[in-house]
Amino acid sequence: MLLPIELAILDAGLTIQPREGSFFGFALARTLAERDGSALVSHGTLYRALNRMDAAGLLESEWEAPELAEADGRPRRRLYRVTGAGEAAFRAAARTERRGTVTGEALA
Amino acid sequence: MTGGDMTGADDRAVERAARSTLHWTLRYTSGLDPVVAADRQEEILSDLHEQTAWATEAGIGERATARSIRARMLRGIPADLGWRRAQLSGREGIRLSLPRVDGLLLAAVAAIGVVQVAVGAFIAARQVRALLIGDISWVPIAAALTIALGAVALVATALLWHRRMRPWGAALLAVTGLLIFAQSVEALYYLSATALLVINGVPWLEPAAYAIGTGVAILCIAASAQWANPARRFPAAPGASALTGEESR
Repeated sequence: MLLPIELAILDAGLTIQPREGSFFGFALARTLAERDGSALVSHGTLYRALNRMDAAGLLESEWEAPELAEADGRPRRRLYRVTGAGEAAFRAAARTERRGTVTGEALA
Repeated sequence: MTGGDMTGADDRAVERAARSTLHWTLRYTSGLDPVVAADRQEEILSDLHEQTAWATEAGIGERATARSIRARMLRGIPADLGWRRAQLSGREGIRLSLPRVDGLLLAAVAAIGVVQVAVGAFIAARQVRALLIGDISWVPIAAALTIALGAVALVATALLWHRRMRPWGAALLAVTGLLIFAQSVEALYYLSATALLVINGVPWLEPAAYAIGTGVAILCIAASAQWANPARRFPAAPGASALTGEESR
């Protein structure tokens, strides 16, 4: 089962990925905030979710080459990509959400 | 950390906020696998840099940036601690399921409700007895209030059994819980000779009753928030692992 934050990350990731090739933590935080007009997601929630999704195979990650970061004068970024499994999970969850078969009421 | 045109106190505000966040990161990653810890530290460092650079570019004031950085750190503390626990136990995702947590929360709030009703009933019984035997010829405000709060708690506890009304029941129990324990102590001052001696001998009893009430209220408010806005989960594709963890930002 995907949590809302995980669904949102997959959604934002799949939006950024075709354009940029990959995405990093803060870019995701910014995209999520811009989408729903909310505050930037907390560090703990974002990176815990990314870590968990990476471990579950929904995302894959790699650190960018240090030379690139050095050339830009910034710390290295950890670059994420949505995997095939992640995309499939997102599509399945989005379909279910559209059908409205799963709601919080089911858990209450 | 890029600061763009940052100068003086404002510059230091962002720097201090970033430093606090990094200190917190070092703290919750201490004792973890060095590679895991270094990855998290480096990722947070990158995030702080990116946020500062972005804020500078977007013309966001340094104080606002510093506030945002601190807020992101503070809001993330529960998730950071959960992540640390998971790293130490190697059991990310094998924690209490949401329905189970929900059940435990309901049991706790219902128990709180029953206790409050019992407190109200006890004070009512003591009041009736005191009136009957002529110990007292009036109803102290604290006793009347405790009995009324107990009656409200009875209604609130009944509301817990209706799923839709559950948040309201918990919210009501937060209000009654905040007051009923301290009010009952005050009521007993008039209604029980033994309680009078105890209250006179234990000056911290009333503050302790308020502290208990505050704790009860916080739990009930948390339960109310949880039930008013239940976390949603979406089924993932069959190939994806079942994930569990924190449910909000």
